[in-house]
Amino acid sequence: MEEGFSLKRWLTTTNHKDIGILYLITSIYFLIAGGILALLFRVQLTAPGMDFLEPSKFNQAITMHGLIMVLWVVSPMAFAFANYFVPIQIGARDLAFPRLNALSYWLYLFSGLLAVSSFFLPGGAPDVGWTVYAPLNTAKYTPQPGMTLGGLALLMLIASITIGTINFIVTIVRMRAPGITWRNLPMFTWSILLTVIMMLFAFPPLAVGIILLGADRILGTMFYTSVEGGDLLWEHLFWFFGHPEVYIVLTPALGILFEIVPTFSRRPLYGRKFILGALSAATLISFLVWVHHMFNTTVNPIIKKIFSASTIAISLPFEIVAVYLIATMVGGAIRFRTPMLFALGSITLFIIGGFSGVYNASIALNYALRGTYWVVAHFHYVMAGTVLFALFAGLYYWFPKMTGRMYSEKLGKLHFIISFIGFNLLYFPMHFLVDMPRRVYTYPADTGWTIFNQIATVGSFIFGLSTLLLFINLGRGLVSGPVVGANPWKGWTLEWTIPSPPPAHNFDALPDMSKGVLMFNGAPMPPGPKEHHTILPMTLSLGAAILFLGLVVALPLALLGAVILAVSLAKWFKDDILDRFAAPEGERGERWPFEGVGKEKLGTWVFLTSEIMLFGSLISAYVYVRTRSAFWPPSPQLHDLGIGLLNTLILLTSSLTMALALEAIRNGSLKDLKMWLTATLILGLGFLGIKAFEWSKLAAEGFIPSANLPAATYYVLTGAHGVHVAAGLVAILYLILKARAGGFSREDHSAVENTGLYWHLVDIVWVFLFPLFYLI
Amino acid sequence: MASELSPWTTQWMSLFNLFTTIAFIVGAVVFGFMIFTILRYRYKEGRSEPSDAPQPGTVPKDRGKPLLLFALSMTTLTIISTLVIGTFGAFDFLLNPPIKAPEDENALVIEVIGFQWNWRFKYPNGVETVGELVVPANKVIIFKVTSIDVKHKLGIPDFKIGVDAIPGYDNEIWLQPMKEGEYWIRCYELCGVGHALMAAKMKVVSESEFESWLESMSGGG
Ligand code: HEM
Ligand SMILES: [Cu+2]
Ligand SMILES: [Cu+2]
Repeated sequence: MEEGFSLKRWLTTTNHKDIGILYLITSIYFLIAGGILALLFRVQLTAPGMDFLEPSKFNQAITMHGLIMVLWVVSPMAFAFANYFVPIQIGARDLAFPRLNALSYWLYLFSGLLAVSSFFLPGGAPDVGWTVYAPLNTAKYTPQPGMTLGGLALLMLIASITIGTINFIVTIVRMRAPGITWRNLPMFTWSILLTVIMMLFAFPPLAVGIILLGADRILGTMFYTSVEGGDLLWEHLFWFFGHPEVYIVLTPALGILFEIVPTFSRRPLYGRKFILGALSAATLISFLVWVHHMFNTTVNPIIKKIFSASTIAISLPFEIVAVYLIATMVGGAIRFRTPMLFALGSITLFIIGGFSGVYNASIALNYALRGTYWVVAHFHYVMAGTVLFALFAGLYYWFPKMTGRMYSEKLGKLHFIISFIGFNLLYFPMHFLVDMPRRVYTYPADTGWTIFNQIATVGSFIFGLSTLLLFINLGRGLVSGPVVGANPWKGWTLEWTIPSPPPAHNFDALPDMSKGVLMFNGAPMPPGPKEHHTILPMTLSLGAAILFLGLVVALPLALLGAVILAVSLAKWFKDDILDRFAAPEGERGERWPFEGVGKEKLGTWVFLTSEIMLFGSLISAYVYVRTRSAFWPPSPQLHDLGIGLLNTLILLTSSLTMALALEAIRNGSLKDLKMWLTATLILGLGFLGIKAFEWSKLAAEGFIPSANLPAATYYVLTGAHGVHVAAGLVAILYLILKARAGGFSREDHSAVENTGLYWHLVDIVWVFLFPLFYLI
Repeated sequence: MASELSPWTTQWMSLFNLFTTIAFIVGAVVFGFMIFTILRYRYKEGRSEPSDAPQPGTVPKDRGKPLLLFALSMTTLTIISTLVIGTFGAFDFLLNPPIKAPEDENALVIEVIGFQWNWRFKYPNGVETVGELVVPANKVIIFKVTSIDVKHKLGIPDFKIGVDAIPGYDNEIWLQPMKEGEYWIRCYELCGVGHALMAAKMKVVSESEFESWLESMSGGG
């Protein structure tokens, strides 16, 4: 493979370590961007009546600060480490799908650039807070195109995250070396597994929230401007995502602590099993507490009570985590190197942030806490404190592994001390601003808030500038730090058993931990793909970004983007048909509980799970607005049952032909395969054709998306389904092309099977939509 | 209590103090444990490695007794129950205003309508004000809070009370202000460029002052 700093290497790499580095650098870039925004609005808040940022600019700054930090900084930085170290910790050569991993990265980068570029559009960036409440988020109140662009950027990021989720789940389940059992799996990898599981279920509802918002803004529907949907519909969708999201951000950070604290206190993690139990419980409960962000709304009091209790109870698993981390150090010989200092700082801030969280969870106290700086203090202690400090700890911890060189310990300690002081100066005073509304660009002088704001602003500059020490330190270390060996910290996990920096292929032979110690039994590493470089993930993402930008600013640009996207996709298919990136799975270790499920199939299952969440959320939104509507004409009055039945029949038949296609290739008949695939293709096209006819007929009658909620839900849900049918047809077209090239055989036809699974799911979704829109 | 602002405020304060007391106790224990551990087990010259220290390429021993888990869970559950009971008590208090019916003569129902960027207050007799709310002391004021444009949150920080103003919904909350004076009402949900300035005054006056104020307002048309 190509080495060194050639641009080509970085644009085309699919190696997990390269991509880890790209994630790291990009997340640091966004950290700086988000940090500068924060300093700007801290200046504005230094004194009452400041005139530094005008209100609209201020609102843009806080909104983009929040979105960037939550979505484009803390999680991606954790996934920089996940990319780099999860494959090594499980004794693998790479992730399960290296090209998709590259695609995740490029979608992430371009989505972030897209979001940031909204500042340069007329009217500027989104300015409604990172929670984007309705109906402020609709075109009536925020007409600027930057809002729409922000939404599209988020959808792109969600695509990146979904792909990453599939990749990590399949990798961790199926690619562990012998002996890396679930019991022996390193805690960082465990935490990433739990994180991606949460991501899988949390992001589709957000996607639905944004899709409905996009419909409102572009098609003029009334999901968020109507009373039936409105603020509450958005809040349910957003917080069903939003609460798990904060654990998505937290969990990898804890994973880093679980690596660092034992290593530097020289003792095994205390109560590892209990910690895993606690974290798994928290993962589950994270989906059962979202209403605690809606305690001041009109939600039913009984429900509020349940959610108040569940939220207070969720502090138990986290308390266990914190206490066990401390208990780990008992009896140790603790070395206060920089990573350990940051880890201890992280634990400290975690405990403080946990306390204020419990206050928030009290449905009674919450009446006066929601919307104030108290909440700002709370979530910065956990997100900016616990998480960022743990990420910095990880950065110092793994820096020698990634570069082969050591940073300066003195500068590192200085960085810790200054940033810790700066952090607390910045956020602790906010606890005393419990009466001050958050997101205000100015405040009156007679309230006594000034002094706390001033301390916070001073703290913000100390904290912000202290990061320069990190950059200087790592920069100097990279160029001239002392060379280190494989294991400067005496860590146990596999990354410490290979050279620093690791070779491209990680291990020379397949590691084996069956006896609890690392051995090499002479088994070779399962082979990787023939190729390690492709520009297509980059061009595909670029095409998508240009397409989205074009949709918002200039349609010809969108066309250009669409062309780039289509060409990249076609070339990607061609690479696949030629099998240029195929890599056999090979023998490895435990794969329970998915032994018999190949990696593509498992990946498909994971993907289908996210699709189920997507349609589940769409249908929930439909049920929500329909049950809240005083009047909703029964479906038969709106839609032609005959057409609906016909289309149902067509789609069900296409499921049959798809099954026959699989049967054909199982019997080794390429000819029959092609025939049945073509039949499926034609049926699918027929379905879409009839759908188009039905739509145009309805539209001609005035039943257009913006007419009313029955129309809006109809077009959005059947439209989302139609897009899935269309995507399925593209996949079937690819299968036909590959079949014509003789690309399938009796033994090797997983793409047919997996496309079939997808196709059946899309049909099943229709089986749910049909009664909703034609029968009841 | 003569000096109390309102019964709810007293409840809120004592609940807040309960949470704070517990936070301080738990914090003292946990941070005490942490500081002790860090100092006691820090590496010193001559201190040998623990026998089970992590070694490269070796799965660390599992350790940790269920006892700690049990003790920790039991204490925490006790604490959690205390907090939940206190919370539910205060919450129930707020769900049940001390009046028999909204028409109760001790109650005053005020419609509050948030808009970009101020508050409109509607009295039962049709009087409307913007940016200024006048209420009699000692009466139970029932706020029916809504919004005509985007979401806002009505907050009266001195009284530790607030509730969302959601378009299309009436969100009810009550308050029994006991002390005459002037207090701020602010918006606690980002609602656009004017959010920071969306403040109103709440004047708590004596019953008779209130009557004459209302009189003058309705008379003046
Ligand atoms: C003991 C554990 C925790 C509890 C009981 C808790 C509870 C809460 C509650 C009830 C709220 C809603 C406050 C309100 O707006 O009225 C809240 C807000 C928030 N929490 Fe936590 N929390 C905990 C830990 C965490 C962690 C670990 C994170 C992130 C790493 C986090 C991030 C946030 C964020 C970002 C918000 C504010 C969202 C917004 O309105 O912008 N919390 N928390
Ligand atoms: Cu939450
Ligand atoms: Cu506001």
